[in-house]
Amino acid sequence: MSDLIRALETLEETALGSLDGASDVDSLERWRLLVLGRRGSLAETLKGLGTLTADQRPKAGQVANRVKASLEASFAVRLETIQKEVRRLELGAERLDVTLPASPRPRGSLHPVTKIRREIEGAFARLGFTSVEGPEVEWDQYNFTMLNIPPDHPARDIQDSFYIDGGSGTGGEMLLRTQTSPVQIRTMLAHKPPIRIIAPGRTYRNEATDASHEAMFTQVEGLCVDRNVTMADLRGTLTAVTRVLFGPDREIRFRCGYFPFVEPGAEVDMTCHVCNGRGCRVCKRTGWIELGGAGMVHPKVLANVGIDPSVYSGWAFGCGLERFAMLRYGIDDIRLFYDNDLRFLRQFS
Amino acid sequence: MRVSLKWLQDYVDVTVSAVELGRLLTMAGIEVDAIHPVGVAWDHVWTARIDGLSRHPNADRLQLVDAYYGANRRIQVVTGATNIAVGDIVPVGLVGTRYRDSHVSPPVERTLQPTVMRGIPSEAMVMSGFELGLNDDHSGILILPTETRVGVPLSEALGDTVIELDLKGRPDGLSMIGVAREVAALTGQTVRFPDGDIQPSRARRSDEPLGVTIDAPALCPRFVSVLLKDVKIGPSPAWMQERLQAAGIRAINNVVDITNFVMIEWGQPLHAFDYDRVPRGHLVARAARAGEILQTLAAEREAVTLNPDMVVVAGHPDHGGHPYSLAGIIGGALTEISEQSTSILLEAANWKQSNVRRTARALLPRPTDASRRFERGVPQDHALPAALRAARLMVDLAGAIMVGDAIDAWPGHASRDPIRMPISECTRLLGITYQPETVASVFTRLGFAFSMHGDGPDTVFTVEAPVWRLDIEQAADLVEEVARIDGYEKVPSTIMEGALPQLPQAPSIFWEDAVRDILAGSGHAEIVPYTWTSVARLGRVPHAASSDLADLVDARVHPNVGPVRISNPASGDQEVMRTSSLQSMLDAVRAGLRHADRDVHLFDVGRIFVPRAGDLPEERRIVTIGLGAHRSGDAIGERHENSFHDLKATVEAILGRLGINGHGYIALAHPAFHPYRTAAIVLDHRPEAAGRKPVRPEDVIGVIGEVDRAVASGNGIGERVLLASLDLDRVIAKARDVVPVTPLPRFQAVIEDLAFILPDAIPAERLTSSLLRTGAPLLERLDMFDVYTGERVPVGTRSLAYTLTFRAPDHTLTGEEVTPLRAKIIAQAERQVGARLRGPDA
Repeated sequence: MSDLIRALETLEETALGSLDGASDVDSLERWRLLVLGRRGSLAETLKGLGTLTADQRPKAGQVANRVKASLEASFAVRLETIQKEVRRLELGAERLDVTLPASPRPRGSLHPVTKIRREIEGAFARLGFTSVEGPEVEWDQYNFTMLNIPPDHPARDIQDSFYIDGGSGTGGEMLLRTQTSPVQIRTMLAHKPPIRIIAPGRTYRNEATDASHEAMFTQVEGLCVDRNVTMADLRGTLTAVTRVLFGPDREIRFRCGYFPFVEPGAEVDMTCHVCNGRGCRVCKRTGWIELGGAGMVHPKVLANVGIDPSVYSGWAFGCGLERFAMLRYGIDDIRLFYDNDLRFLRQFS
Repeated sequence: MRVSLKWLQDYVDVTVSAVELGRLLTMAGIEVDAIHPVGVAWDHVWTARIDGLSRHPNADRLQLVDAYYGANRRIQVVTGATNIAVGDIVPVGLVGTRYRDSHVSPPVERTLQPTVMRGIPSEAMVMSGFELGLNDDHSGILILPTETRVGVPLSEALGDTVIELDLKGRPDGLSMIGVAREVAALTGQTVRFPDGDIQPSRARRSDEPLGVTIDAPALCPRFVSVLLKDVKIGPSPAWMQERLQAAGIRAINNVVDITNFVMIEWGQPLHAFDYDRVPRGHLVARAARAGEILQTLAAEREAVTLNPDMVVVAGHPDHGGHPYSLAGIIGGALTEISEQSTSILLEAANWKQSNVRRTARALLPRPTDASRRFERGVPQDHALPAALRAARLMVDLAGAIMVGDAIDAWPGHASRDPIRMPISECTRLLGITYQPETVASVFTRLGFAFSMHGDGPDTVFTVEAPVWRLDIEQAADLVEEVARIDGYEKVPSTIMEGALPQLPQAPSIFWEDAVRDILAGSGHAEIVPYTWTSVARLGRVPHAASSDLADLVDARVHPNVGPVRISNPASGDQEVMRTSSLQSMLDAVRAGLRHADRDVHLFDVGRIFVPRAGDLPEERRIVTIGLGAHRSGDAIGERHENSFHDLKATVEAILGRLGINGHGYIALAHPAFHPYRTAAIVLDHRPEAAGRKPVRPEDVIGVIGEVDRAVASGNGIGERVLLASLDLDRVIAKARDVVPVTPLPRFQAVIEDLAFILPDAIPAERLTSSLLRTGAPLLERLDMFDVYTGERVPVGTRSLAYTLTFRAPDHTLTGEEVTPLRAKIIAQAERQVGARLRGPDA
């Protein structure tokens, strides 16, 4: 009996020794047939069990089971090792250089004026303001006269206009609007207060172009008309909006300013978003950045559109979208907006 | 307006620094454009008296100056100047003085070094205005006023600060007195008015006639005329020249300088006529006559031709009635003061703002100092005080005598109503509740006469309209005065209350942005071209000549109409508003291709301008897409051609987003495009009726195609370009944002593939349409998965393979249902469009 046990133990030792030599799936399978197969060495050795006596068998059987389990377990481990290795090699063949560039896929972009317009519209929409549009070729009457700028008024110098050839009709002469204020007039003629609108749109002025002036540019104006609307509301609204656009620390200040369609009128400044008001290159060391003009809608303008200025009051403001975009994105030349240079535009993708 | 602080101090004490004054004025609505310090570079320059002059022993053209500059200090200076005499007070620069050297061009700044000139050492220089940087006069040494203290630093004697003010809304700011009033109000000082006290030296004699006639009182509300005799023309005193210089006005002679000085002082333009050239001393303010010619005193001395809308000051009609001056704008040559003039007729008149402005703009290249003031408004009340002030100065500085009283014709005299301002108006407009004392104090500081009634929040102010503030007309104007003087920074910041308005958002803005998002999201860059262009540029994309469909396409997105023309363009590229967005897109594609050989994918959501008779032009929203020939492939370095169908996919994405269906593409011949790679995009398209039913004009919404090679190269592009252009307004009218969802199917589908042979001449959509119509309603989907042309199909045909998905909404289809339907589909395809089923070996 001890011979059989010894034979089993020798077999285990030999078989485990040769298992290490099986380095791929095929040689491992050969080992399995040789050792664990129906005619394999284990089966052959176990034939010796039949020669043992009944009392010897349990002990020998125990050893045989242990050896079989050991060989099968080692086989499984070896198989897994080899399969892992195979898979590793297969995946290795699929190695990528992850640092290669991404697949070329052109990214689209929105024009910076579109982007800033949407931001401004979004900020005002929270406060109940609707965006309204109007024509770019306008009547003189809407662009000037009803805004308290009668013909031959010196304020027309501030907004030199492009006129349309042969263009005259019910509203006087036709011109390219110099501001989006005519949209305010059209809105007030068509709707009763309360009114809260903003009017973004293209505008045109006959002036020389340089890094901060374009003859075609984009404005956004806001208008609010209701009972008891005050300049303090204007300041509160502009503060809320500039904080959305330029950060929560922004403060708004008013300086007295002259625009014929508002009274009182104001120039609007914001604390510099770059230096927080301490003074830097962007704000020309003043700590303040000029945003645009504003004020309480002139009583004559309200009267012109049939709104009683003794009952209603309103505020209005206007500013250049390009100027906002320049501040927001750090653009230093307004002419880039209409140059349509892809190298510029793609930076807004 | 350039304001010399030194001059300003004549009328008000300036108690704050120039920088602080600038800040105060700016916050109060008078913007300071610049502050120019005068004399900061005069570190080593002193005022000196010339005690002796002698010839240089070794040079005829040089003089030796014995200059005394106080406290027993003297210095000998060598100079080439000849305009100096013993007793003159001049600036002397010692070693270290920085000066401008005009002997070289352009002038350079130098520092004075000790030198020896022809054997005589020189350690100082007597200086010209040019060398001091004070003015452009380098003809001689600057002679200082005789009252100048000797031996003080020049900056003390002559230093000044000039503030440049931007006075958009404040006509009164175009005068020193106006600025002084403002400064007084802001700093709590009082204004000192200049000396205008004068009595005639004697009455007029019968041979000294004087008269004024106002023929056009609506245009000339007031005319003051003063006669001055015994005038001695000569230079004006240095203090006056200095002040004029600081204001940017050239000194000419005492008479002209006095009129300019008073104009700046009071803001009231004056004009001096040579009395001896004015028959009967009579001036007439009248409308010009058509074709009348006036020789003006403008710098160019040009003669201007007048018309009856203009106003002149003219002579007596019995003496020809010649025009003497363009009223309120510029004088004329006929009555010009000369060196020999001894009698002066002084005009201080008031002219209608709009008329002065229109006339000046029509006749002169730029406004004059006078017209700038009149067009903004000059108070009628200033005419007499300004005239008397000028007379006083003529007496003091030009040896004149005033003869007789001034004539004062004032037909336009009208009193202005007092303005009522309840203090509650401040609260209503500003959101600030002021104490009545605060408001009263502001009005007092401004010099406004007022009375108060009631108490506390019920206080009502009644304010006399100040004559010098023509801009103050109503309560709102007074509210602004209170706010700006008390401080705009006191306006609080509040969040609005009240009902939200119910103003609907215009759908167009929403849709424009939806289209932008689709295009940017699919790799296109948004461009914004100028909306103006030139006729020549527009002409680079031709219009249809004869085809009906192409005409309809043109009418929609590329109308062949005379464009809206700008009458005063700044350049040829701005002469018209664009009637089409195609050319500007080609320009942008060309520019894009300069920097990239692929992925030039652009879009423009903008307007074109279509003229309408007697009305504003139609501003039609157009979306335009432009593609260069190539796009990036999937792999690095790979490049694919952009195809018509790539662009079509983009158009489909847009139309899909807008909820459009039932549209189609009809092959189009158009001279701007490739004859076989272009389509009109139409709504309500029925392929089965194509060619038989005319397309309705309102159904055409755009064009898509490859640009004609010659047109592309005419626009500077040497490769294939694809363009699509859609009338967005037209599409938006049909757009739906919410498309109801179709429930998901509950039963199995039967899926089959079928291939057909179709003659090339038959558009594929006709086969598709036949299959769909025959298969309805069980044919749920039809997807083309292969298009084959080649040797395995007959010449002149192609194979189109489809996957057909059959499904019933209420049960699972059986073979018995599908088989006959399939047979019917195949048969109908053959009958309707001549398509044959492609067999396994075909």
